Amino acid sequence: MTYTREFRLLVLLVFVTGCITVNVYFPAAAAEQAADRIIKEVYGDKLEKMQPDTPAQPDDQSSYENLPEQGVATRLLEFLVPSAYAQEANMDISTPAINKFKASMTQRHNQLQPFYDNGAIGMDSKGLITLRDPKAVSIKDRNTVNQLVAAENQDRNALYAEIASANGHPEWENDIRNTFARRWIANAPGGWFFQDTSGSWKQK
Amino acid sequence: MPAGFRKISHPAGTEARTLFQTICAVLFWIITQTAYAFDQLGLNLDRIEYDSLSADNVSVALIFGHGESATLRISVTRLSLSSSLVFEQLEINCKEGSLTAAMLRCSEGIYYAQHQDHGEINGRLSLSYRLDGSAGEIVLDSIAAGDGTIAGNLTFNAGGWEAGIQGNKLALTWLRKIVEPFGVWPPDYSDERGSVDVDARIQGRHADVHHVQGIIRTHAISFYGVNAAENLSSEVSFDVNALEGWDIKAGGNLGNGALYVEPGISMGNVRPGIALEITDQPLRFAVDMHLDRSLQQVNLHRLDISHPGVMTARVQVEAELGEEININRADIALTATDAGKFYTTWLQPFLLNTQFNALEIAGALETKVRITANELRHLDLHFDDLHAYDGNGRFHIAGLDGAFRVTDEAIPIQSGMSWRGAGIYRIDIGAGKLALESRDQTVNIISWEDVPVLDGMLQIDAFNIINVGRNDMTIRIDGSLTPISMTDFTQAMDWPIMSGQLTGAINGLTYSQGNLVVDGQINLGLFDGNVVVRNLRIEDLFGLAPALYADIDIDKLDLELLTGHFSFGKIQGLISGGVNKLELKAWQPVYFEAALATPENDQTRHRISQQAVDNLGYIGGGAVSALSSGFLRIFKEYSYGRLGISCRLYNGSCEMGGVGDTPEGFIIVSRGGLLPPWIEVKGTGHSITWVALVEGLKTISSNRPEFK
Repeated sequence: MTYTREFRLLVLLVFVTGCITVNVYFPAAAAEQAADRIIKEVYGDKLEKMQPDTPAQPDDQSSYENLPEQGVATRLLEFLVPSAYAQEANMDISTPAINKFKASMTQRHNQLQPFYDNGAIGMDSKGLITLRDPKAVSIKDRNTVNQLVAAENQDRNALYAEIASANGHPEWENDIRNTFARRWIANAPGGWFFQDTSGSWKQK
Repeated sequence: MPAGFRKISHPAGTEARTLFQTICAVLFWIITQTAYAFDQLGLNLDRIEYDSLSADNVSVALIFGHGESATLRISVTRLSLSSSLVFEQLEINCKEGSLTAAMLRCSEGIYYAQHQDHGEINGRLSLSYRLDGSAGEIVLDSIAAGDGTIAGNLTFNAGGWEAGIQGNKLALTWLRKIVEPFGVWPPDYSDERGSVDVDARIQGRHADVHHVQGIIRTHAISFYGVNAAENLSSEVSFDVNALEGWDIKAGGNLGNGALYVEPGISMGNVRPGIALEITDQPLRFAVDMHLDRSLQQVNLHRLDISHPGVMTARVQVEAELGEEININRADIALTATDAGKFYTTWLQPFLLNTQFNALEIAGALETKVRITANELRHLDLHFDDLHAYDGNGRFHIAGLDGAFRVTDEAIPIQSGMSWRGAGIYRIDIGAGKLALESRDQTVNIISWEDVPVLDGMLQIDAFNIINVGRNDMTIRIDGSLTPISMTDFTQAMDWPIMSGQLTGAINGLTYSQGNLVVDGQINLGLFDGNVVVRNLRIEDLFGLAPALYADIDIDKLDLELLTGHFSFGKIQGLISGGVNKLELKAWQPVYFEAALATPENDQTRHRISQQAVDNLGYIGGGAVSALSSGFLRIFKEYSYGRLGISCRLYNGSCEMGGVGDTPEGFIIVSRGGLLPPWIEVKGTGHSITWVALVEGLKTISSNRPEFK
């Protein structure tokens, strides 16, 4: 009976889609490249030619679980959730808000640099900066440095949230923060201080 | 239990006394047993130990003279009171001593010792001691120490003990060496310089300290750590009673130099502090407060601060301390004669994570604040020619005079303010004056003078502030704008320049918790047509990246008025449509669905100039091609049927459309109209980046910056 056949197909479709769990994993490689581009601009290492981000390799970035029939279901999945691939290819870092934060941080960096250099300021493990050695700052500069640190951290927090939001995954904020935390340190010149995950200060 | 005091005083005081008592008890036993049968008594001990205190080769000798007179000699080859207080070759000689069955006395004694850091130490002392151990006194006369002098005394009896110390010009470096081993020198401090005078008395019983009072003067001291001082000269007197919690009275002045103090508050990764630089008149302060034993409740009876040329303040607070501070009651009365210095010194450090973290302020202000149960109950704020500019360019006000008063009581109180100028972002607001009335924690405007906004006027029909001082404080405004130049407005917003005038009604504009929402709609009159802004809301208005959301309906704008005022080129006809789901972030568009086109059944004349056709190409970033090449170029104007353009902006690109589609793109201007020449303008492709589109518009306005 046609009715019975259609009903079975419907049940099969519900079963297939019900069995599919789509995990869109955080595109670590793209995030790292995006972080590097922003950080190098902020640090003053201007990229001579701004190239689009290289798409991250999708091999382990997305996973499809519990597929009863890999071929048919994969095609069905691609139809239903094309964004699963799209998200991992690029990390959008060109929204007006991101540009604003980047410009603000770049402008501020010249004022912060002497305090990075003399060890007064260090990079923590949460992608922020902190005044680690107050002795290295004269009294007249204390509140200026506090102000710079607070403003920088406001921008950084907003930047991480905005990148996650602009790429359609607000839940990525923490992953983006962690990526930036590593890349701020990796891109920093030798001599600057950073905090490892145990909270200890080390000099690069 | 006053743990802080105990830590300071317990080890040395108790151990010294125990040693002293032990020696005397031994002597007393010998004396009572021998009944003066000898001319001389001696006692030698190889070593005495008590906790960290130790004495090697202790020798005590009593040489009896006439009657009760006796000479007392004590020698110790090594006396260690702590790791830093180690004395070698200690000798005490007391020629004018006396000994009775009850009392040992020594006046004009001399002591001598060697210290590895401080070298030879010698001076005069006197002591008396009841041999039953119930009372005693030792007085050390002034000796040279730490580039200055120091003297001390200790008395004790059954009621407790009292110690005094008088230091004069003691080098801070020397003082650090003395006190650091006892754990009372804060860690991570360095580069001490300068000297201090100390005159203090400490009273206690057993190991507990009950009362400390005295005075400390600093002479050009410097130190660097979390807190810091540079060439600071000051005088602080203190009186701390620790019997029932802590009763603290202190006062003094900072006469010269610089001081940075962190009160211990943490705001994110920042610990704000107050930086003071005193050059002319001294800063004076006085404090009277009580802390309970658990350090969980504070009653600040009075904190007076006088910062000459900046401000005077009196603060009274009852609060519960803990992970969160609960203010049961607080009264603050403050007069800032220089509001700018007051802001940078006393306020700004605590506003670093707020929208008021980068102000430039001038003028004066005076305020009285009452807070009860964590809520503002009364505010009396007076301004005197106050100017405030936000360093991030978000707002400013100039020449603010008058008062702003808030009460939570039912009986209303009035106040009023006037200002010479103000602005939000780059939208200038002119001089204004208003009268206010407050009751039940709400402020209403009872009279208002219309205020210029750019070149128009802002008329306010209703303005009220509710829940003043609370987190849910809300400002609500109903009013209208009339008429504002679009040129000024678009320039102020840093948008592509538009011309014409803007009028409008604003109903239900609400600002609360950083967000601005318009409940109703904003009706604008533009180019003989109507523009309705619906669902307008701005999140985080004064934040780092405000987000604006709105839907805009556009009805029958006269293109001739629009393009006639704008150097785009002349177009005749009407245009309607809208911008839906408009989303701006940091005042730049990130998403919208815009569609504008000649309305159906538009009976007006449809003509377009050659310049306008060319400029459509600029808008399209070169993606638009018109049939105006060739012979059509000899005409200056053309007829058209319908004109329309649409853009769906997302991911930084505009997905474009027109009034019809072609295989290569879309039609912006379709053929039509009564009289030739007719023209058709097509767009090729379907997408253009927003950056290129804006650059096209800027090119048009920069090429021909004429505004009629």
